[in-house]
Amino acid sequence: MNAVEALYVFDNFSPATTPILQHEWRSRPATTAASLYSLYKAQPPPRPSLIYLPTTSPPTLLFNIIHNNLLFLSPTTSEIEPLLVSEFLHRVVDVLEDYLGSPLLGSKIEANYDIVAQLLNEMCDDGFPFTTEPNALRDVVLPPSLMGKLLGSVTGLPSASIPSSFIPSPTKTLSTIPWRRSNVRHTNNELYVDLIELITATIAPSGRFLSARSNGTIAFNCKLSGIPDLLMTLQTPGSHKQKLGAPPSGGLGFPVFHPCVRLSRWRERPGELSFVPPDGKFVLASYEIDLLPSSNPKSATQPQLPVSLELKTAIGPQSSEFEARVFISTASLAPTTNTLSANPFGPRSSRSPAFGGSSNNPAVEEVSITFPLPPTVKTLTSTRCSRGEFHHEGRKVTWKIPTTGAFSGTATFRTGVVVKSYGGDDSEEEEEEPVDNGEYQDDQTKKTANVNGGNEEEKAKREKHAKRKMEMAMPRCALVAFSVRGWLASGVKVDSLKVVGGKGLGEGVKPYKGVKYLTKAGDIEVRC
Amino acid sequence: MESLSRISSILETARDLTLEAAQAASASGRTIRRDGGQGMSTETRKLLNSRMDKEVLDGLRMVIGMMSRGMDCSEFFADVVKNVASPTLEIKKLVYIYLLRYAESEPDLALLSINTIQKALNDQNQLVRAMAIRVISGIRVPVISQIVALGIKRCVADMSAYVRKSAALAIPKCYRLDPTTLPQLAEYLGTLLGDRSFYVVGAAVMAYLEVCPYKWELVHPHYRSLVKMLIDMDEWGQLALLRLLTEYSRRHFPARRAKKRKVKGGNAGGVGGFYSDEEVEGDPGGEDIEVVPVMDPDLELLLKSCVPLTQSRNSAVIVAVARVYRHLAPPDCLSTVAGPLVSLLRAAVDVQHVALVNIVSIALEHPRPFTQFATHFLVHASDLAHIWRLKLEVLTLIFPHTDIHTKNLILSELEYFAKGYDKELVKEAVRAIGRCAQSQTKNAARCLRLLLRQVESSDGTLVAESLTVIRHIIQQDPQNHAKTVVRLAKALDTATNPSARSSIVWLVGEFAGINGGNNVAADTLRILAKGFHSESEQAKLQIVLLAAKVYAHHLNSTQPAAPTGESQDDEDKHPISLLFSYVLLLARFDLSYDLRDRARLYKSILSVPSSTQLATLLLLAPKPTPQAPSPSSGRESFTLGSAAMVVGKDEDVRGYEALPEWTTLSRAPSPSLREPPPSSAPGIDTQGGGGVMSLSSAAAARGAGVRSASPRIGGPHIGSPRVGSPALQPTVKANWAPESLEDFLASEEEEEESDDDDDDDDDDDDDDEEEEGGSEEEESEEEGESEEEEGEGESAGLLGAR
Repeated sequence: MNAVEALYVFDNFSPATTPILQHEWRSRPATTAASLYSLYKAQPPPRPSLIYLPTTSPPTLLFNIIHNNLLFLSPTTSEIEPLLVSEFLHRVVDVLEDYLGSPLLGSKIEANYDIVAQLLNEMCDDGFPFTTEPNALRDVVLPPSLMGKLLGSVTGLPSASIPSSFIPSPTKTLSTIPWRRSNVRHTNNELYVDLIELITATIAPSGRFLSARSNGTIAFNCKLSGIPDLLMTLQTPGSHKQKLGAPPSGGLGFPVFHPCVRLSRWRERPGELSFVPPDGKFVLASYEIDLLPSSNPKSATQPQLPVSLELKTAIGPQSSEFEARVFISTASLAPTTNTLSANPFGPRSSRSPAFGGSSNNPAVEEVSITFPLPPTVKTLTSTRCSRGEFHHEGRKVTWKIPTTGAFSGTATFRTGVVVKSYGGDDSEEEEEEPVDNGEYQDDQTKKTANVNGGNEEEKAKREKHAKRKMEMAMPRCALVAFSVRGWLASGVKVDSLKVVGGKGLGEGVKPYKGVKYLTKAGDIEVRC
Repeated sequence: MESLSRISSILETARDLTLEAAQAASASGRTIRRDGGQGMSTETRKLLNSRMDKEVLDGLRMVIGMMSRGMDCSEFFADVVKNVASPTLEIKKLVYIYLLRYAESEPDLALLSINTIQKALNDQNQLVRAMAIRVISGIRVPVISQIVALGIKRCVADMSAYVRKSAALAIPKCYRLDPTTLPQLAEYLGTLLGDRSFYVVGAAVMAYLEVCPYKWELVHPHYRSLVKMLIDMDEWGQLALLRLLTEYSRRHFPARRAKKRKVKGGNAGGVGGFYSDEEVEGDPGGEDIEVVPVMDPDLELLLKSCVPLTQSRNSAVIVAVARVYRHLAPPDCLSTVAGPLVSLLRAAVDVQHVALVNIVSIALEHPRPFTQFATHFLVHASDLAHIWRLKLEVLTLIFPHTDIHTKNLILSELEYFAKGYDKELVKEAVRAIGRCAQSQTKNAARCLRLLLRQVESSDGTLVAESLTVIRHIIQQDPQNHAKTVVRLAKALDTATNPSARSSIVWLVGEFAGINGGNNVAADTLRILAKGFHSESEQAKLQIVLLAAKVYAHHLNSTQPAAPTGESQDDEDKHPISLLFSYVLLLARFDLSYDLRDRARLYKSILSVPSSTQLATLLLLAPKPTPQAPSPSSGRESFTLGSAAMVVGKDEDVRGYEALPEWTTLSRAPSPSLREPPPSSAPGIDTQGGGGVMSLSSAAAARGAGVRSASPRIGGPHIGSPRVGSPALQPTVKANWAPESLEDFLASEEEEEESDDDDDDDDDDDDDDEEEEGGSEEEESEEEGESEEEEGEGESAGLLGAR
């Protein structure tokens, strides 16, 4: 019981139903990969991540995740904690991406089957997760580049003549820290921190925020020699003395940490992260911050977002149009920016080494508005926008607004809607077309019934119907997406990042430190 | 926590996946074709038999490639296994991977390799040793079970924690190979459970759960040390251990017994807690007697040491902690885990789904802890069906317990979705409104108003669903809803949806009897009769039924006065009977035979006075109040965090076992079982191999100056315990507060004041710690140890006093 039994990876690009990778941790499973795949495909999308297949023998719990174009399936035939498998699969993806380079593609797996097999063998033993830390795996399994080197240098030598000490790694000494590999050496000592926040918000038709949250992640790319001990101090705009487990207040809400973080330090002094980092890329912590300062709507000041939207539906002569006005302004970003630029990394810190963008001058980028359309919409007519371009596909229309040259101001999007008709008459929407048949019958009979009925009344009724029908064809919300580099919605910032101890980092070596901030909004729902 | 790959994809927005993938796809097409060629196997064989390592490695890579793609590679068995003795680690590894897969099919040939693998068990390199034990136990050739058992025995005593961990996981494999080895294996397990490295203990717990989950005597002596180690294990070990401890606690702690307990002013502190039960049992007749639920201190220890785990990056661990609190702690402690559970909603969709299932199952019984997180459950336009279903359910469950503002928020939220165009979502939202009304009658009026507004909508789904829900609400409390029915009857003027109309008509019919017939029913019937021909069949059926009901009420009110001999003429003049016969007449000539049949039935049953009673029974029987339970109700009976709960109540997940009930006081074992054995140190008999290496690595870690981290760093791989150090025994402080390793470290840093491990007294700034040297480090550690000894002495004193 309680074991991850196998892993199958399918490439969504190839039509074949055979997996590009299969690895079984326990004895051969009763259900083959191909039949699992067909059973998976038989489920109507969207498919939940845990599918129960009672028809197989024995019944199977099928876990699945999709990454890029790869489908990872992992069957289990007995009770297991679902999240254990989910987390494990995510971990596998992370490790494979770490070894084979991102993005992870089917071809990369195919080119490195030996590495992948070793990794999977090491990550899970007999169905139990074994070594899953990327750094610990580095001690045990050679990355492809090193493997190539090894092969290259062995060429031409008979096996007996290879001195055993020649083999560079896997070392005989395993690292003493589970999450940091041994003997880390870098010629350039560098340290990059990325603070990423994802905003989710719901805005009522009145413009009031129903909810606004920022989900933050602190990602590290650490290239320091030896075993450094780091101390990072975060400054949160709210109270510093937030109690753990307390309801989300101004501070970081419900943080979760990489195992390297010393929890007691955080508990004593919230905001201080003391840790010996793993080597390479890792996620140090994640948190959430409620952007609505208090639950009481009256007293709360509304959060300021750099992009706001006003959506008017059912306008125009036949109330068959809707219009969206977008206001982009970087003004709300300014105050945070000023405090950010005063960070303690000196003048160089404002440079964002890995990715372009600057914290001194945050700019709104990648603004796009998506309108989900009701199924009754047949097509859009006379669509126009004052800026950018739009793309109508399926049941949504996406409007992308370029923000080159630090654009700020207003942009407008307006479109008419043509409704699907049920009677086969495709003409236009001014003709009365009841939404469903029952209503249609009813109207007909009523029309014939009160022949003497006032024409006015009839007309008003018809108009009302048309209006109602148009209402049913209007989008009910708009989804706003944008990204801002160099600005965090929550106002969290890195106060200091110091190497406070450890060994291996020579005296006087000043590692280069870079901090970047990125806010992304993908799920801001503006209702109407 | 977000997975790294998701974060990097956010950071590297510019990458063009499709292009790269397309290029790769065309390239990979070629490789597959080449691999599938005919000369493939001979070529591979040639490589495998080469004298050159590089070529052998190439050959192995080809074989592994074919294996991974699912092709049968058993033909290469002999050629591959020949290389098992290769000194090159890379080759060895790949051969092992091959062996694990194919040894079963060629047991005889596989046996030839056993000798070499056995030798590898003595290799200097801990990696080789670990690999060897994994392979020898994993090749599934039953003949060698004794060899495997011996191998495990050797590795259990290995100085490397990595090897011991591998040995722990080899135990279940050996057990499957030959169940008769169980007594031996159990003994090894006992040793491993007491191992000093948390690295090993995690694996040992997994093995224990797999091999002999009910041999509790193995767990008793290690209970406290296991709980202490919880914080430092890796995530998977934590998961296994939490599962074990949940089961253990249910079976061994007769908790939540409401016991009579004397409240002593002084002794109420933590120190007395441990033995106070027994004391009170001694004199039950005291004057200050109170009924207090008592929690076993050992259980309390577990609950407290779980708290830091709610900050784990692994969502499974957070859910496992929630399970501990849900099933072991009193309900008022649930708020500890509510927030962390809710915070899982920021993770990937698969995690969100499972988290929501678990939240719902807790909220079904204890909604209160979740009330403050109402905004987290607002449905987003991008949510998938299985997510929003659960979110709506949570909203309705917490609804009765929230403040007025949140109630408004939830109701307006539901109203918003009720007007959407996704039919499923509309249905679910309206039902949710209904459940909100059901849960609290004082909100029912509000919900009803909300629903009544929907009745005139042109959306059929919405109207039909609203009316069903309205009907449920009204039926629950018919007395107070007479006015609502009048309002609904008015809505008949405008409502057009057939099922809505029929629903309303039915409701009016149900209320035809109130106020002694002085109500709207007859009048409604009159109006409906006028437009009878234009109604849908569904509505017509209900109108005929309404007519029958109204007439039956009429008969009941008039007939008792004159049971027989009522003149037929008088009766016919009454408008109700006129209406009834009119409707019947209309129905008689209707197209639908169902309608005609029913009309005939009502006519015949109501025409004879003798059958009036029968008609009354038939038509006016009181209807049972419908209940619309929460869609997931029933899930709360499953153990939190299990797959069975996610799958749902109708399915039977193999291997799922419900948690046992709490044990009774009489059956619970004595807490003294959990005292660690006095002499046997939890460390293991590795004096012989107690390697130079391990000690030196420990020293290296300490010399590193990473002082505060050193025990944690050194832990996993410091092989042998320092022999003879008394501090290795787990301490038995009665008031032992749960500590994370960090606390332990903190206490080390501030050794003077940290008498107990509470963390509120170490305010010292340790910013300047990096200056301290290695020797001091060791000293302080020793001091820490001696302190623990003191603690032990203290508790021993307590014991003596008792």
